[in-house]
Amino acid sequence: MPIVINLDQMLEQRGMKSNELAEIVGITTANLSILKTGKAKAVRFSTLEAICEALNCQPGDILEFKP
Amino acid sequence: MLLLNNNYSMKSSTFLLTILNFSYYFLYFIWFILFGMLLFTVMFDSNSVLELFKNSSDLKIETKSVLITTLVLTLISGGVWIYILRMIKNLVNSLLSKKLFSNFQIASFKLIGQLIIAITIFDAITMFISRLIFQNRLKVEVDLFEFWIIITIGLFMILLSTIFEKAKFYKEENDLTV
Repeated sequence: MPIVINLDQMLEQRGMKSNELAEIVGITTANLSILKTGKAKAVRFSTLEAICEALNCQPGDILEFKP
Repeated sequence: MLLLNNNYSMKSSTFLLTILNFSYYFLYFIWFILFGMLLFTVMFDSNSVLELFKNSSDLKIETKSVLITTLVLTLISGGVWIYILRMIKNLVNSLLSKKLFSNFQIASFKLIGQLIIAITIFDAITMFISRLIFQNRLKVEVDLFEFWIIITIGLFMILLSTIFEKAKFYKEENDLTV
């Protein structure tokens, strides 16, 4: 898929672990892993909002379009 | 209310499984009896078997060749029906387990539907040909309404397979939505 998720990069910059983010956002680590590996077919606005809030960033910082 | 509904569905599924199991083993039993009857007719005495059909109103068989042909055709058809019943049994077991809309369920619905249609058409054709060949020596009462109902059930099974295929796609999409 041409949409790339830059979650790993953002997590590293903020010194946060995946399970911490999953806990704050309120999703399972399995689902977060699906999102990170690019297997996800869709992201709910509510999830995106919670991730942006937890990482204090914009959706564009997490999602990138690479044709 | 939910608990009551759950309890009710559990009871009905257990009842369905019991009926399927009973029908499966009963059909198996009948199949072996017919197989034994065929062996007895071919190897020993056909007259005593023919006696059984003399007073029947639905099925009249008068000669040995007709008896053997009818038994062979019934055994073929019965064998396929046993296989279909076995597949339905496995399918219901799979549907009652937690994982729904699997590839096995889609393939089973499709195969069951195709087999039901094929065996019903096979039965109808062989009955028609047998009537032409044996004429007065074989009299069978066949209900055309039954034939269409069974064909409809087969088509419905194929439709269910298509629905399950679509449901699998939606489920995958839902599972992969974070």
